[in-house]
This record gives sequence, structure tokens and C-alpha cells, in this order.
Amino acid sequence: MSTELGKKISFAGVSGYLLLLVVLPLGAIFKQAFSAGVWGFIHSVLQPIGVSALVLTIKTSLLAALLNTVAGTVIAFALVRTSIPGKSILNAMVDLPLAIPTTVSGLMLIFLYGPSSPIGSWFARHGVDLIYSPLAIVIALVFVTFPYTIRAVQPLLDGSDRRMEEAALTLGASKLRVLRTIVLPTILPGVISGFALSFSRATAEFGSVVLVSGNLPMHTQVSAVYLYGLLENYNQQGAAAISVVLLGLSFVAVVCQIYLSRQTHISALLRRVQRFPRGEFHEVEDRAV
Amino acid sequence: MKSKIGLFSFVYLWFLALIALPLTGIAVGAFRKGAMEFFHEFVQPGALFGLKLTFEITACAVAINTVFGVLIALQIAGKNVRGWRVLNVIVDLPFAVSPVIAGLALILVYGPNTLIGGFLQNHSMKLMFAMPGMVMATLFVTLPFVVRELVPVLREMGNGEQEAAMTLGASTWRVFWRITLPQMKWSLLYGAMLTVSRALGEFGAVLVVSGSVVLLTQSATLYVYQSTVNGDMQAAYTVSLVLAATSFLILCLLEGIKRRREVAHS
Repeated sequence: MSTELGKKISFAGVSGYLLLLVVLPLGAIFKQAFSAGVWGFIHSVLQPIGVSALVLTIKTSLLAALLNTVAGTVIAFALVRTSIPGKSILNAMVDLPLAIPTTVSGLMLIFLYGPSSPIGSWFARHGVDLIYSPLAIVIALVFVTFPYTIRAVQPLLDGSDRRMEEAALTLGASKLRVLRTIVLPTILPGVISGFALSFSRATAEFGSVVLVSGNLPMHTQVSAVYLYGLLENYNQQGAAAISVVLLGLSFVAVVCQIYLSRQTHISALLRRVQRFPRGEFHEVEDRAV
Repeated sequence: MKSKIGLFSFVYLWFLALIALPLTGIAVGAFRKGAMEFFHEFVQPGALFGLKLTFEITACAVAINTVFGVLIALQIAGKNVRGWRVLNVIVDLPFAVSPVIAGLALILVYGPNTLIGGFLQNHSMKLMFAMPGMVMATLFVTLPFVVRELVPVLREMGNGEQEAAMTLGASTWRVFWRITLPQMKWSLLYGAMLTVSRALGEFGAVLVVSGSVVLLTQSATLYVYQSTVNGDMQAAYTVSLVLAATSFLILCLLEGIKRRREVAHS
């Protein structure tokens, strides 16, 4: 009896904690966003500066996520499948961007690529501003989302069955074909989830971007920074409206990720079944499943 | 062979440009005017105060979220209360929320002009724009870490041993200390260290709820930001180097704990 009571008290305590810390505050955002009615919400969202910030956020986040998905997949491949010198050090360094405070990341990038640094001034002479430009936002986002794809793809590559690839190679398939028809389908769920994680983290990023971007409205100001500006001007309703849009954006990213990874599972299965319509191979596979 | 060289140089270049060079850069920046200058910036009252405040907030956040993390994880893993699914979703929400939004959310409920915040302020308790609010913001963003580390371990262990001990007459408390805690200690430590790492570096949420008042609510990351904005780069590099070194240390600890955990589980 007393353990039952203990469980109930513990559940009540935990629920109360989550209610006060997470549920009430997030609920208050929605309430505040619509405090001036639906039209007030739409009006706040459609401010030209806000719209351009949102467009910039989506563009830079997509670009950064794309870059990191490609580079991350290649790096994961190198870390798992090759004997690249210094592998364990590289592998340990992957998580650094997550451990380092985002303001420190921003400052590091300013020091290295800023206009007063050798690298930055070389690029500036050739007409490319690495810092205080939209490019700076992409660099910062690539830095902070660095580990996601690598860490999503690594275990899939590690656990995949090498025998399939070897069999295909023995049967005369080219390396490219093996990569396309065997390796890629195996790691695709990891690639997709890495992309989605990178994208949603990128849309939420604030600390590093606020330092490197220069925050010029209509030019280099992303949504999170715009939102902070609204707060500084005591426009809580506007800030809450932008928050709702950003929350919606990361919600869409999560839903897309779940949908896409299901699709790829099903299509990969279908393809495998079609390739071996009947015969031994098919049965063997069925039993294994 | 050629493709291998291409692959390797790409990997090295990517790591060099994004991680190795920026990291060395911060050390070079902090020491470019010599060790004395570094030390001089380090003992500035603002810098020392910021670091102290950051460590205090981190200690509070880790203590509270470890206790609640264990409680929440037990509820979710046990599945023996209705509503564990709801808890499971709520715990992940802070991952999906931008830190600035987290700060705004807390202000909307606990700010001085709200029902709860106003009531507390009348009883001379200030949450927002003071240290308790900064702790709350840190609690918010670090909520998932301990829970996410513990739930899979607790599920994997099952509760056969716990039930056996209960049948033999051990109290819930004793079962927790003697069986559950030893089983999950490495994962708990790992989750707590992740919490420390995130709490030390939190910026957006803390900035919004603190107001960043010098020598009052300006934590280390806020000091770095303010110094950079003011153009006082030397101060920013110095405190950044301290923070980066701390995170590096934590990363090494995490790596060690991970190895220990793998050994313990195999």
C-alpha cells in the first residue's frame, strides 16, 4: 500500500515539475501569440523584416544542413571504413562543437575568419566577406551542427553487413554501383535524420549567429536574433508570434523526418523483394527476417 | 588509391577549417599579448564574477535536474503509471525549442508583470532578471539529458532484481540505493556531465531571462558576448579560453565515462 502511495506522490511531483517548467511556459507563448487575435498574430508574422529574417533562416539552415549532410556522410564513411591516420583523435573531436559554448564558437570564427585575420582579409581582398555576411551565418551553422549527421550515419555503417558488398563486387558490380545500390540505402535513414536534426538545430541557433552575422535587418538578421530584438523592445506579442512560427518549423522538420525514414524503409524493402522475385535468395532472406 | 587520398584530404581539411584552427585560434587570441595580459583579463571583477555565477548556476541546475531526471526516468521506464507517454513527449520538448524562445516562455509565466511572478515579487521573491530565473532557464534547456540517458538503461535492466528484493522485504528506498542506483550509475554520471556541459555554455535562454546586468546577472557566456559587442576582444578571448578548456575537460571525462559504461554493461 505504501509503495503505491509513494508512486503516486512521485508521479505528482514529477508532473508538477514538468508543468511549471515546460508546459505552462510553452503554453503561455501560444496564448501571448494570439493575445491580439488571429489577425494580430498574422500581422506580427508578416512584418517585412520578420519575413525576410524567416526566409534567411530557412535558406541558411537548409544550406548548412545540406553541406553537413554530404560532408558528414563522407566523414562517417572515412571514420568507419578506412584506416585514416589519427582516427581516434578525429572521432573524439567530432563532439567538440556540441560541448563548446555557442558564444565561444562564434568568437572563434570571428578570430579566425574575421576581417582583421589573415584568412579573412585574404578573402575580403577577393571580394568575399567571411564574417558579418550571410555566408558567416552558414559557416557558424555548419560548425554547430557538425556532429549530427556523422553520429547518425556512423552506427549504421558500422553495423551494416559487409558481405553483401563483397558479394556484389565479386559478381562484377562496379564500386559506384555497390555504393548506390547497397551502401546508400543502408545509411539513408541516418542521412535523413542527420539532415533533419541539423536543420532544426540550425533554425534554433542563436549564440554563435548573433556574434558572427552582424545582424543587419533585411540582410543578415535571422529569426532568432529578430525575435530577441523584439523582446528588447518589449514587443512580447510579436516575439511570441515569431516563436510559434519557429516552433512550427521544427515540428514540420520532425514530421518530415519520420515520414521520409518510413518511406525509405518501405521502398528499400520493396526493391529488395523485386530484385529477387522468387528462388532461394528470397527465402533465405525471409527466414533471416 | 587516388580516391583514398582525395577522401582523406577532404576529411582533414574539413576538420582543420571547422574545428582544429578555430580552437587553436582562441588560445592564440587569449595569449597574443602574453601570459600577463591573459592573467590580467582573467582577474577582472566582471570575468571572475561571470565564471563564478556560471559555475553556481550549473551546480544548482545539475543537482535539481539529476534528482528530477531520475524520478522522471523511473516513471517513463516503469510504464506503470498512466501518462508515461505524455511525460515522454514533454521531456523532449526543450530539444525542439530555441533557447531564446525558452527564455521568453519563462518570462511570460514568471516575469514581474504576470500572475505568478507578481505574487512572488510581492512576497519579495524575484525570479526573472535574477539568479533563480537563470537557474530555471538552465533547468529548462538541460531537462532531457539525464532522462534520455537513463530510460534505455532502466528498460534494459528490467525490474526482476528489484521485485525479488521487494519480495524479500526490502523497502523501496533500500531497493533504490542497493540495486537501481548501482545499475545505472555510469549512465547517470554521463547524463549529469552532459547537463554540466550544456549548462556551462547556455547563452540564449539565460540572456533573455537575466537582463545581463554587470556584476549581478552576467554569467560567463554573457560576459563573452558583452565584451565582444563592446569591442573588448582580449577579455572575450580570455574568458572564452577558460570556457573552452572546461568544455574540453568535460568532453574527456564523458569519453572516459562512456568507456567505463561499456565495460560495466558487457
